[in-house]
Amino acid sequence: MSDAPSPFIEGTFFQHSWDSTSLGWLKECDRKYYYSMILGLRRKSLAFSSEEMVHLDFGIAYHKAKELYYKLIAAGQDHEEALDGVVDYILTATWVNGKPWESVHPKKNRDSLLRTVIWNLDKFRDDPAKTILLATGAPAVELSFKFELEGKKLDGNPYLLCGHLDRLAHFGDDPYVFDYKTTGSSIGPYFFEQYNPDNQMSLYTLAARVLYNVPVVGVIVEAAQVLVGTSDFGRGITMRTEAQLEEWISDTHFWFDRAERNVMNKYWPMNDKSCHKYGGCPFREVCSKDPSVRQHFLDTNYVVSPWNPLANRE
Amino acid sequence: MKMSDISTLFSTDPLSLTRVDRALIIAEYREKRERYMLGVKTAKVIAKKAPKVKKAGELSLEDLDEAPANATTLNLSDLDE
Repeated sequence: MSDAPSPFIEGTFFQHSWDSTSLGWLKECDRKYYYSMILGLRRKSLAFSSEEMVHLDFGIAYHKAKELYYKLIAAGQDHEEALDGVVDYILTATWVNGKPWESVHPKKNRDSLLRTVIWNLDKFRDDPAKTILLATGAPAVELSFKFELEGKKLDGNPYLLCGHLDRLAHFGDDPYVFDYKTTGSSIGPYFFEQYNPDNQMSLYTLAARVLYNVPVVGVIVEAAQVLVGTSDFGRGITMRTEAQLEEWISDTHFWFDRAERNVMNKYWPMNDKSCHKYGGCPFREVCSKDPSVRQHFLDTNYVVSPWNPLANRE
Repeated sequence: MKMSDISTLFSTDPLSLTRVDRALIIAEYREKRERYMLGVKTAKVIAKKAPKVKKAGELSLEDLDEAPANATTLNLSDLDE
């Protein structure tokens, strides 16, 4: 992460490179964006807790396993050969310091990772969604993107939108972005409804259209519910029309104007109607205090761990 | 497959595992899934849920989970350019 260029104009808080995470913070609350993105603060219990690392490691390994599978299939291997390669990868990736990975999480561990990946790949072995092949012949999986937002400049330079796409695939007559989610939540209709409208899915649809010239019509969210002893899977489609994407771009101009204005005013107002959403804002305990003591709470309970939209995915 | 066999494979350095060993691990997880699916089906029978009606020839979200018998042939060549 440290090798990536800064997403800010040097010596300022003007952010030129944005991903769905940082834009999402701004949309939720200017103050949350200030703490999370500009100051790069994380609550200590989140930044260094073993449990948080487990979620991260589990998610990364799951994504890597899916990516490897589709690459092996594109290279000509059949399902059983590719699955063997994936299991070999997981066993090796979860062999730490001469012993199996010891997770502190009851749901996310070596056993549940193997189970979730094997069950998932078996379930979708005859997948009606077909991975798109790029001009190079490589499968369109794990694609990092970065493109300029038209019609808006920051200090004479274009704004950049960036992120990572898990997979591009055809389903029926239309191409879609695939996005993998691992969750402990139930994956019924309510789960998928949260993605329409949704900042991340609109950006991903736009990115696929702009960068890969693929007329993507939306995102298929593939969710893996990981529980103690079992895993379950579901897919949901979230569509985006041309007009919806144009609206999203127009709105993004508004949000970038707002981010610029906040920096110029040196003030990031609190959105006190957002504090309790998404499981509770990590800065709620700060904002709920008298302004005179907030810095003390920030110094005591938070650490600097910057988020960089330009960083490569590990 | 005995649980002790799987436990032994799990605690073995993956670099010394063979494809046969990994096949045993995969088989164990497939067996677990079958047992789980059997339990789900039993639960569904008990619930006596009415089958869903779907229009013929229409792609639905359910088709994303399982390949339809008459799955569409997809032309990917236009994306190679």
